[in-house]
Amino acid sequence: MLNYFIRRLLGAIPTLFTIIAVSFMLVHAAPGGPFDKERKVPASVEAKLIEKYHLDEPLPQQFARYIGDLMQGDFGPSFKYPDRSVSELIAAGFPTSLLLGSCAISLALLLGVFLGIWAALRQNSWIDYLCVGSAMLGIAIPNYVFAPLMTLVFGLLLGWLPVNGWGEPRHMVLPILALAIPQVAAITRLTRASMLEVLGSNFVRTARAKGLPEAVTLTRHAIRAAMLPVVSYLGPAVAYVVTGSVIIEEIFRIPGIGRYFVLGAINRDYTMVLGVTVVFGALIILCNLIADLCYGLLDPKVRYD
Amino acid sequence: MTDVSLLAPQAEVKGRSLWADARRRFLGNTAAVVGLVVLIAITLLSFGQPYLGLRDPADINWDMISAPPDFAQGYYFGTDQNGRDLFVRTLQGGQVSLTVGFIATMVSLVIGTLWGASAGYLGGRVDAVMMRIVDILYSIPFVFLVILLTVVFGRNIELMYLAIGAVSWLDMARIVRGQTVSIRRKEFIEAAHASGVSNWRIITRHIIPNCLGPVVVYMTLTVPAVILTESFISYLGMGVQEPDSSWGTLISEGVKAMEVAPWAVLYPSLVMVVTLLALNFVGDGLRDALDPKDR
Amino acid sequence: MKLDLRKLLLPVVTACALMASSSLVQAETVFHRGNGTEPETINPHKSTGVTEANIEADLFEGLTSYGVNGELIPGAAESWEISDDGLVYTFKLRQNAKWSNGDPVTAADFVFGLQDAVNPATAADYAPILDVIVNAAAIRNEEEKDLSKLGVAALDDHTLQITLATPTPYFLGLLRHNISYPVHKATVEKFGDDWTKPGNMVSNGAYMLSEWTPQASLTYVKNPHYWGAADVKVDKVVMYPTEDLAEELKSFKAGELHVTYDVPSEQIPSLEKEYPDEFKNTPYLGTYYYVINLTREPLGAQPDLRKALSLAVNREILTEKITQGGEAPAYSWVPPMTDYTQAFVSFKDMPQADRTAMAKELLAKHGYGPDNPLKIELLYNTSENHKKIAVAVQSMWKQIGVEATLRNEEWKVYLETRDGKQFDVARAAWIADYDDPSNFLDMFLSNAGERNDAGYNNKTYDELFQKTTVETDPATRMKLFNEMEQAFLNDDPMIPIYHYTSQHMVSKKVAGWEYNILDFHLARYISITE
Repeated sequence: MLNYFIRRLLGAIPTLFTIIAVSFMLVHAAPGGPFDKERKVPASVEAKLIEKYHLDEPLPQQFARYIGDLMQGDFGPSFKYPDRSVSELIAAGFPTSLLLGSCAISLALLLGVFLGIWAALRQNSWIDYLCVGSAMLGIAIPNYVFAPLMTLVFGLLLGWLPVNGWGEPRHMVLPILALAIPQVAAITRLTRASMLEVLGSNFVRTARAKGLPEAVTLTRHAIRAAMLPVVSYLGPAVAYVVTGSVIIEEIFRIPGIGRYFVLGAINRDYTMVLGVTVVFGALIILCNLIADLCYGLLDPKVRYD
Repeated sequence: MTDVSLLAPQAEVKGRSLWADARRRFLGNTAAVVGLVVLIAITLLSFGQPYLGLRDPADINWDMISAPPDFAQGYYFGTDQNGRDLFVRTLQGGQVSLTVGFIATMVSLVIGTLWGASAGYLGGRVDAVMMRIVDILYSIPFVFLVILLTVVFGRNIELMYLAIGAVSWLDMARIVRGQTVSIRRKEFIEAAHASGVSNWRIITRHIIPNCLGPVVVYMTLTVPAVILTESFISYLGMGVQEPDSSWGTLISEGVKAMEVAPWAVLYPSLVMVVTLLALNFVGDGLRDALDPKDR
Repeated sequence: MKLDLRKLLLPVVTACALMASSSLVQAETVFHRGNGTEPETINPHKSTGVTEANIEADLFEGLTSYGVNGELIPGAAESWEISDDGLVYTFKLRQNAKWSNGDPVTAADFVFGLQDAVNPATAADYAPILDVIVNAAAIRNEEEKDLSKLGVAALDDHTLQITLATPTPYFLGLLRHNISYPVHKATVEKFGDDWTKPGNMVSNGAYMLSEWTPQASLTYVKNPHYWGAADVKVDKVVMYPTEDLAEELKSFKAGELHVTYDVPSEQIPSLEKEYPDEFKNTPYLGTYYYVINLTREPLGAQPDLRKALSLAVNREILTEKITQGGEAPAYSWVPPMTDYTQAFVSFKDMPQADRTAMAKELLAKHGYGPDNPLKIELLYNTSENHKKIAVAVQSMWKQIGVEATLRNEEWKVYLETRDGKQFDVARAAWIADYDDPSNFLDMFLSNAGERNDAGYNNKTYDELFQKTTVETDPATRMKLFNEMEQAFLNDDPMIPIYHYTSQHMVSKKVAGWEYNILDFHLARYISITE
C-alpha cells in the first residue's frame, strides 16, 4: 500500500503538469484580455502593461516562465488587483474557504450518513419518506435560492444571526448550512441506496443467519461496505466544497477563494485563474488519492496494484 | 430514462422473463408509476408548449409588469419583470432544462459507467491513466472551456449541451470504479474470468448490473446538478439566449425579486422540484425492478 | 511571495484576535458603508472605478476637493490665481497640511504626484485627461523622457505653478480627480508597488488606511495630522465589497450598514413606500444608450433607418415600467449639467403614437415593412438590467416591423465585439469623470479610436471641438458644445435611453450625506448619531 501511495504521488506530477498546460492554453486562447475595459485603455498604457507582465513574449516562453515561478511558490502578479500578488490573495482567502468547507463537509458527512442509514433500516416507513423527501428538496432547490432565503428568515425577519459579513463565529452558521445542505442531501441518498443494496446481499444474510447480533452485522459489515460509493463521491466533493463557492461567498460576503474561479475567468486575470486551478487540481488529486486508499480500509478485498 | 443500452445483452440471454418480470415489478410500484406519469406529463407540456394555443412566451403586457398570478386573465404563474407570462415561460424553459438533464443522464450512464467499470476492472496502468484523465477533466477551468467552445464554433445551444455532457460523467465514473474495484475480486467475477468470458462481457453483464443501485441514485443527483450548471452558463451569457429560457435562469432571475414578487421564484422552482421528485421515484422504481440480487 | 504556513494561518489568527478585541469596543464612531465591489487598487494613479475613487477621496486630497454638495472647494491648496490667458495656475498650499506620518504637504509632493501620474512607467489609464498640462502628452507617449519638463513647478515649499497647453475651464475640476492626488515620495520609493498596503501607505487626506482584507473589508481611521481633523467626526470607516445588491439591502435593513452602494431595481417601488426617508434617488452624470455601428450596412448608410429605431423606443415606458429607478428619459447625449444647455433629438416633444407612425413611414421609404422586415442584431453584455431593457426594446421595434435578435455576451467578449465593430446596435453607457460636456463629446471625435464606439466621423463636429479647446469665454464655449451635440444627435448615431440616477439607502442615523451630482460623499462631512 505504501508502494501504491508513493507511485500515486509521483503520478500526480505529470497530472498536475497536464492540468496547468491545458489550462494555460485555454486561458490564453480565450478572446478578450485582462486590460480590456469599458473605457478603452490608451494604446501606450496597454503596451506598457503587456510588457510589464511579459504578455508580449511567445506563449511557450510565457509558459516556461510561469512554471519556473511556480516551482518557487510564486503564482505571479494579479492583473485585476495590481496591488496584490495571486499568492497573497490565495493565502488570504484559502484558510477561510478551507475552514468553512471542512465544517460543511463534516456536518454533511455525519448527518448524511446517519439519515441515509436510518432511512435504509426503516425502508418504506414515514422516516424513510421524510429523509428521502427532504434530501430531494435539498438537491432540487438551488443554493442561490436557499442562501437568500436563509438570510431573509434568520438574518432579517428573526434577527437571530447576522445577514452577512465575516470575522465572528456567528457569521459562519448560515454559510456552513448553505454549503452543507446539498451535500447532506447527496450523501443521504447515496448512503441509503447502497445500504439497501448491502442489506439485501448474501454476506449480510449469512451474517444474520449465523446469529451475529444485528448491531455487529451493521457496524462490522453492512455500513463499511455501504460507504464505498459515498467515499467515491466525497473525493471530488471535498475538493469542491473546501475551495468555496462564488454564490455563497457573494451572498454572505465571505472572503474566500471560490469567487476567483469565476471572477478570474470573467476578468481574464490569467494568473489568478491558473493559481486557483493549481490549488484545485492539487486538491482533486489529493482527495481522490485519499478516497482510493479508503477503499482498502472499507473492503479488505480491494487490492492495490 | 431507461438504460436499455446497458441491459440489452442481458436480456438477449435470459430471454423475455427478465423484462416481463421487471415491468411487472415496476408497475406494481405506485410511487414509481405516478412519478413516470408526472414526468411524461411535464415533458409533453414543455415540448408541446408552442402547439397548445398559449400566449407567445415573448409577448409583453405593459399593464402586467411583475404581476401576481391572475386566473381571470390566464396568468397562472403571474408575470416576470418584462410583463411576460411566467406559466408559458416555465413550460418553454422546460425544453432546455429537460434536454440538458436527459443528455447529462445519457452521457453519464453510457460514458461514466463504462469508463469507471473498465478502469476498475482492468486495473493497473490502464486504471491509472483513465482515472488521471478524469482528474484532469475535473480541474481544467470549465468557464474557459465554454467560452472557447462558443468562440470557436459560434453560439448555439448544442455546444452548451456538449460542454455539460463533457463534464457530467466524471462523478459517475469515479463511483462505478469504486464499486468495481470491490466487486471484481468476488467469486462470480473470478469464475467468469477463469471460464474465458471476455472482459467486455464481464463488464457489461456482471459488473455494471451489480453497480446499479449507486448508479441510479447518482443519476438522480446528476440531473438537478446539470440543470443548475446550465443556468450558470446562461448567466455568463453563453447558454440560452432571450427570448428562450430555462428553469435555472427563471429561478435565478426570480430569486432577486424574492421579497417583492415571490411567485417569480416559487412557481418555476415548484415545477422543477416536482419533476425531480418524480424522476427520483422513477429511478428508485427502476432500480428495484432491475436489481439482479433481489429476484 | 512564497506560500508559507505562517502566512496561511495569519488571517485565522487575526480573526481570532479580532473576535477577542471586539468585546472591548470603545465609544468610537464607526461608519459602515457598502462600496460595491473589491477595490482593484487603491493607488490613486492606477485606479479607474467608482469603488476605488470613493476610498481614495477619503484617503487623499487633491489641490481642490469636493464640498458637501459636490461643489468645487479648496483642498490642499487654500487659494489660487489664474493668468488672463487661462494658461498659468498658481496655487498657494495650506501651511498646516500634513501627511498621515506628520510630514508637511509641500509643492514638491504635487510635482512628484503629477509626474508619477503621467509617467509611462506608471501606465495610468486616466493619464490622458492630464494632457492639457504642458508636455504631459509627450511624456506619456515617451516622446519626452525628462519628467521635469512637465508643466508643473514648485516655486517654493507652498507655491505650485501649473502651466497648461490650452486654456481649460474645467481644469480645477480635474485636480480633484484621483489621477491628480499627490503621493508620498519617500513611501513610494521605499516600497515600490507595495506602498498601498496597510502599514506602508502614507496619505494626506482626512483618513489613513488601517486594514485591508481582500473581499471582506477595507478600513481607514481618522488622520490626526489632517489640517481639518478638528471637524472630522467619524473615527473609523469600514468599506465593504457588496456584490449582491439584494443581500446588501438586507444587511442595511438589519442595521449592519449605514449606507448602501446601490439598490436592487426590482425593489425600488416598495422602498419608496416603506423607506421614504432612507431611500435616496438623485440624478447622476451618466447616460445609458444604444450605439449604432455606422461602419455596417444598412444602418450605417441610412440615417432614416437609425432615426426610425430611435423613434420607436418609448423611453417613458422603459423608465417607468422596466428600470423603475426614477431615471430621466434621455433625448440627448450629455446629461443635464450646470451651465450647459443640452441639445435634443428633433422628436423629443412628439407623442409616442406619432413617433411610431413616423418610424414606420421612414422604414417604408426604404422598402422595409411587414413583408420585408429590417433585421438587426442587438448586442448587450450579461446583466439583468441590460437584458430587461433589450427585451423591451426588441418588442418596441417589433411594432414598427423591425426584427431584432438579441445577442448576449460575457463582458470581455462583448468588449472585443464592440471595440471590433462587429455589431449592428449595442448597449453602452458612460458616466462622467468630471462635470464638463467635453467629457462626453470628445468620445465621438473621428480620432478618438476605439472609444468612438459608433465609428462616428463628422468634420464639422471635429472642427467645433477644436474651437472649444481654445475658447476662453465659458459661455461661448458651452454654446459650441451645444452646437456639437446638436450636429451629433441630428445624425442619429445612437439612441439615448436614459440619464442615470444614483440610488442609495442612507440610515437615519447618518447626517451630512447630501445630494450631489457627482455622487461623492466624503466621510469627513459625515456624522453618526446612535
